[in-house]
Amino acid sequence: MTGQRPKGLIPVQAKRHGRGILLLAFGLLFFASSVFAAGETNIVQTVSPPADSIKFLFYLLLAVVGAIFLIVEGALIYCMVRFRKREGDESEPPQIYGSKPVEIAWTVAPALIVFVLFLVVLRSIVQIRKVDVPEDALRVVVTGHQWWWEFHYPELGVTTANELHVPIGDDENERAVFLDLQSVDVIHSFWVPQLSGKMDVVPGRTNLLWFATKQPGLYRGQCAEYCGTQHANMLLRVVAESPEEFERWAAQQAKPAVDDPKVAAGRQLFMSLACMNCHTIKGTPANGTFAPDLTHLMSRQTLASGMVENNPKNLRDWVDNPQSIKPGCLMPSFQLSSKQLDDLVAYLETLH
Amino acid sequence: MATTVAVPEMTDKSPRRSSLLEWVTTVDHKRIGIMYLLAALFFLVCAGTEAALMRIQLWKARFDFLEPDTFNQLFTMHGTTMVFFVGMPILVGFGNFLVPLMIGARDMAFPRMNAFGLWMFILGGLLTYYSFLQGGAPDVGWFAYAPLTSATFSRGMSTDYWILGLMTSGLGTLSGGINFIATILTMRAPGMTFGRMPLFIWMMLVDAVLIVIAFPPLTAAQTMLLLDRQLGAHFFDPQQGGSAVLWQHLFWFFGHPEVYILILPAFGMISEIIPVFARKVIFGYESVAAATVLIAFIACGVWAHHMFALGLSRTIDIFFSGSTFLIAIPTGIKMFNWIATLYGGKIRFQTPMIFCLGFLAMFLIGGLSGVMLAAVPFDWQASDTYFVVAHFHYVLFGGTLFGIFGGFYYWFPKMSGRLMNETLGKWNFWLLMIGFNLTFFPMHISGLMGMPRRIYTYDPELGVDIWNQLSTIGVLVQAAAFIVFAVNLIGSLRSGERSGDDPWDAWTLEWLTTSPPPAYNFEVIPAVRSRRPLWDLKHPEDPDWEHE
Amino acid sequence: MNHAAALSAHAESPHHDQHALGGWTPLKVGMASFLFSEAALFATLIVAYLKFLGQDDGGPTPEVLNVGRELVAVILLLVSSITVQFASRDLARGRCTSCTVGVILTFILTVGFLIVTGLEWRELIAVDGLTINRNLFGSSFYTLFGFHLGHVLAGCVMLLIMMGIAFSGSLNARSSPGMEAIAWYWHFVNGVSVTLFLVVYVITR
Repeated sequence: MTGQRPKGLIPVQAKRHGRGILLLAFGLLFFASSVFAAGETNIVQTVSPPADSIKFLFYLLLAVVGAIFLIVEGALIYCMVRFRKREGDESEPPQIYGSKPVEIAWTVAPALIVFVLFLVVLRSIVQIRKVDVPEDALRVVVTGHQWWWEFHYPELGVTTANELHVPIGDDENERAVFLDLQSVDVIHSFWVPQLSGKMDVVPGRTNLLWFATKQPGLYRGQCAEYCGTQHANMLLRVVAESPEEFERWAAQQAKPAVDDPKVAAGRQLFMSLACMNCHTIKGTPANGTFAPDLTHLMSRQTLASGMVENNPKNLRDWVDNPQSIKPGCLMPSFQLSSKQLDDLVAYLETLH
Repeated sequence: MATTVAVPEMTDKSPRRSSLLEWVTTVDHKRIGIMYLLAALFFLVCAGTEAALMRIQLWKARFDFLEPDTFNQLFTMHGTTMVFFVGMPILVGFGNFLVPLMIGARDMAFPRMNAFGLWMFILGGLLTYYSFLQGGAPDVGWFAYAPLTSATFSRGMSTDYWILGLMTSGLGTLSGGINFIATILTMRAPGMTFGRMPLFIWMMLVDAVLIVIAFPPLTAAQTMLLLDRQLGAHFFDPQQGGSAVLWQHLFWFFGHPEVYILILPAFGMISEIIPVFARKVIFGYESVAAATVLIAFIACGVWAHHMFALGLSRTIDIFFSGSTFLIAIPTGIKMFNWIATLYGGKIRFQTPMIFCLGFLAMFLIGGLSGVMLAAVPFDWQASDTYFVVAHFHYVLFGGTLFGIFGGFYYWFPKMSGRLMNETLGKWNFWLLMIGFNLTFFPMHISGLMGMPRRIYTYDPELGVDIWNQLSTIGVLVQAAAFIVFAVNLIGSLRSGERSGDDPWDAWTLEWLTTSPPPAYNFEVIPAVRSRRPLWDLKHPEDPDWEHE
Repeated sequence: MNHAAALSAHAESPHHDQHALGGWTPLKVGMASFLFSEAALFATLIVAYLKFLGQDDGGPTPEVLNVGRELVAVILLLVSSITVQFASRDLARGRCTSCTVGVILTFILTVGFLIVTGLEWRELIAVDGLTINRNLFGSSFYTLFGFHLGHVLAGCVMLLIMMGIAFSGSLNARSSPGMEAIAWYWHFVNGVSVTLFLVVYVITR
């Protein structure tokens, strides 16, 4: 090819970079739709006002940066194709040193875009970061521990772990849930994407996070701030249920532990080993606070902060050697004999 | 001619292989620069291996390849190494090699302090890595949030190694920064006013100023942490009234300028390379330089955008969201200037250039996801997830590392006198481009699907297996790209085509002298009267100074 | 053809000393940059001190500080700033002996400062029980003043080196830029001392 490009080539090239832009557009579309479709724990399958609001913001941002992406990347590809060096053309192109109007234009345009985005963000922050707690809100004190969650309902006298039960609202009554986030050791972060953005759980301060849902279901989340060895397995479950179910659950949880004489051996073992130093079982001498409250252990779906299903086999394995399930966790193995294990697990299984 | 400075008599005319001792004891900025590059490449291999091991562990949900503690050490060391022992030393290395050559000086202002900086960096790096032999590497994350770093939660010495290693190398970096400032401000060739400095020099100057501002607060914070750990002080101990939040403020007051310390020299490199291969002068020199200064200025006021999820007040969130949006403007200006430089050019697609074009394409993605993260509520969802991991890899890998590769291919001939192989260079580029995107693009998705960063394993219910597998495959492709680069580097060093003084027909002063340059750089210190002295020389009929 | 020569040849009358930036030698620029970074360091420590001021549940408070004694210490340092300035000026003018005297005077004043500070710290530790691990005030106070003390000691080393050069008889005008840099450093350290005195002993006490 000579230095002068034959005119006939122009449409072909226009088509070529047109195709490039189309491909990119499809890529973006694929990106958005894949987030939409897959998994339930994502930021667009929202069921609560703060998460809804962020979802809207996310789509807006995606549209804006998507458009900028297409324009700039398109311009880049256009320049690369249109202004490539032709075979045999060794002359230097005209030197263009700059252009004030053009430069002012591309300073002002982005400035306007980010200004508009900033205004949207401003409104969104005020919407989501509420400072006034409504009277009828359910309050839960959430305490982060290495590596599990403690949930305390001060008004209901209920303390549980890793599975947060909340009532759903309806059109008249939102039933907002306000969490007071605290930590007894290092920084954690409370994150259930479908309900709300994350909020750090910082020792030495109490952070506030709220959500409200009208949709019953199980919402998953996990600790989002690196907090040590088992950060990956500091899982969270939020069970949203009808107000009646919730009342029933809370009433049951508020009761002291069942005292079944058939498992007295296991109970005796629990109180004589170090178990009681860390765990609480209401109605017994065990009142430790380092580890999850076991008063109603069997009402929970999982063990080891959401790692494994709560069934007799897993429970036995867990008590036998927690390190084999959750290496690095703070519960030691007590080297129990098989008989001791049977007794202890039998006792724990009565804690409904 | 008064500018002619006496040149010491050359006693050794015949080129001979220099001994190791000569290299180790050198104070020559070029050799120091090259040693920075080599040491950084060594650490790049370390950090890359760490990354690869992590990606294997994340191949599928509940995969059992690494212990949790090992994984936590790996991501801590990967981040620490890439930032402190790879990114900065490579950029400082290029700066060392190029700054005196580009401004027409014989050496840096303080050659011995220059060597001191190099060896402090190497010592710091080795000290940090020595922790592996002393019961385990640091496992607190590269930003080491208190109180996870306290003596209670981080037993053993690993965190102390982290502190001392970074303090040591930080001292080296600081001395390098001071050296760059003194060199650039006082040793430019006659006629090289501020308005005529190459853009790389502008960026290095601003970079050095940021180093001088940002490193001392880190050193102060690390000292406090060390006192907490060793002498029982209470700075970051919430149980005794100390503040976990203060550490984050101090760390990010360093940490955000640090991000710009890592990207500005790469901006500088592509601002030199793109014009040469587009055969056009940079579009809007003044606005690129001004945007750099503006970026540095704003960069000192955006740190709390790393802390949006910390529960600071709404006012603070809004302020830092605003300042973060603001920084998008000067960054955008640069992007447009680079593309406008391509417009109307005659682009030669040689390896240095395609890496720069890759930079433009990839950095754009990182910049745009950065704009998204500046939107505080979105950040509440995305921060501390793989979305953020994707974001900063598009900036620091797609940006900085692509720029660095461009720089290697572009200035290798000046360092060695030989060209790097073009075919291998293209393989290197395409493998890296594909591997990079395969690794990091899916992370946007896994992050938005609820995958937090820094987890050694994930729940199958999360449904992110497929995206993690794509990422892991991407690392394999990247590894191939790095092997091609290594082969090319070593092969070209031994038997690459001779480059001559000015293989790219370029315009800045480093191409005026021989390749490799003599110890004294220039026989005659050149006098310049435009931004592109060699253009003036090659085009006496249309010199630059008539247009500036 | 020699390109560099060609470049020089067609350059507009080159300003040979343009790069000297009006008397700013590389050493001066380097020293100024270094002191700027030092200022950032002390600013960080002061922020930490102020952040933790009054946050303690127990233990000594700034009330235990002895303002009068610290004032003496600061004045000793301020006077030493004057002597070091004279020493630097004298050396620039080639008066080596009077420079040596100035350096020795500076050193003596600094030793005086160290003694007074030692007395102050001894009382804080022995009488008031204020140690670095006692409470937040102790942690931030000793860190802040410890850093300053470290800088004073580094300055002492510099002064000792100058004395060594002087006593070995090799002090001459060529050492002048170095002496001037030391004087700059010394003024900075003393400026910090005044700032700390004002912040810790006067304003927030």
